[in-house]
Amino acid sequence: MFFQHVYDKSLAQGSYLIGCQAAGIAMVIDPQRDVDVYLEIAKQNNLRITHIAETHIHADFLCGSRELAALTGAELYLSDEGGADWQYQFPHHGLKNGDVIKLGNLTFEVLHTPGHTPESISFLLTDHPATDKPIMVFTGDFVFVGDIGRPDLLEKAAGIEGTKEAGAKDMFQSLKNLLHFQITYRLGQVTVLVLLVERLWVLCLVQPLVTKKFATGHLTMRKMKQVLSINFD
Amino acid sequence: MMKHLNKVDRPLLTSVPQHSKLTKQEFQAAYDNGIKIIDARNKVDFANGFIPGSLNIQGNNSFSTWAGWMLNYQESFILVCNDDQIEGLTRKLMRIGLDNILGYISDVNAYDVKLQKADVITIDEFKSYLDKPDVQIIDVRGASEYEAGHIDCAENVFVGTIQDNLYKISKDKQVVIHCQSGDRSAVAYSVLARNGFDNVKNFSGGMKEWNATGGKTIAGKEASCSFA
Repeated sequence: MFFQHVYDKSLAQGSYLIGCQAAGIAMVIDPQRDVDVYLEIAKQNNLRITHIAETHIHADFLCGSRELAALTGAELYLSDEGGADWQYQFPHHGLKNGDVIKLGNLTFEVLHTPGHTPESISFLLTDHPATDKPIMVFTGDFVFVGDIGRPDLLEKAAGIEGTKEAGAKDMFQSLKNLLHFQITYRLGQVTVLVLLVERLWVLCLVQPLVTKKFATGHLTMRKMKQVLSINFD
Repeated sequence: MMKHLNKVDRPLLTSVPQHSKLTKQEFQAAYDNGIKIIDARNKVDFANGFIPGSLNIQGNNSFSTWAGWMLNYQESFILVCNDDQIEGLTRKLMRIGLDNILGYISDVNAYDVKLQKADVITIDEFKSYLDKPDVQIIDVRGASEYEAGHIDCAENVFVGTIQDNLYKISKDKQVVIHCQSGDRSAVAYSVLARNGFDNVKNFSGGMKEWNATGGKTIAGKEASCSFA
């Protein structure tokens, strides 16, 4: 498996190129709009970009998925979750919870993880020749390393009223759902992810408090420690 | 808006546009037509001489953030930057869908335009304006920063939305603006200058210098001031 993280620090925006070297093909998740960076990575590693996916409809940057698709002929894989108001309005392969994208020896299982936005999905990656257990999850703005996504931004920044309470409840349920997955590999980022999941498990014990706090704004792990007075470490 | 653009069919930009340096004639024609100028130089260079009407958004990691607040998707604009900056800035802007760069210039002295200077003041001069009824202090940081601690009497007008809140800024009083460390107040100063405010001073040292020198702050959403 080939994996490369591309990070734009000016927008704090992360994207990923994941390839199956055996099949010589790759998927890009949440590409930035100047897509030459992915073409170059693919070229250097003898990969052909055949799949492009997004975790959600972004509000903080203009996603380069369609530019990349136009240049490579790759297919778009986008969320069809979230209801009528949250549907992409151009051709794509629609993804629902439980769907699986196959990329050579790799599979990406789609998890519907609403909270930050109603249509948010995450991709649970398994590298099949090596194991049948997932090794990474691409969460978009649902969870971050050491933090969770904001359910209040739609209301605050995008001006869509009355969504933060519902978003907070969705977020809590999505976090609980993530706990069903046993992430056993401890390599690079994934080690962090395991820690994160352990921490989230603690959160599930105190739903009302956390839901209330979610609805009031940005809840960082540091704040959670203060709120819950629980020693996470 | 970007959420909308990410959802619907839109024009594609499949390569990074190569922008050219404008000739003197090209610049002059666009300038005479009232085009917006985004000056990406360092705030000190900008303060020492800027093209009237230009906005100072420094070409650092916050460039796209403030450009996103200050520009719309329709208007075209000119950048002031060096040759080695134009590609990077073009990339930063296209990532948020701001594609309408007409071109760029590097030397603000090369045109038949009388440059303006920004009125930047030291902390000592700033202190001399405090507690005066004919002075308006404007803190241009975000609401949560302001709420956590601000200088007594300072009012909060966030730089990102200052263009929509110009009515809150006095045209009669001496206005003194500041932010945390001078970057955002440089943006705000240029917005106010562009909109005809000639009564503004910029305390560039901001809360950073204020706090470092033991200045008092008060918490809370509302400005409180015996002179207000």
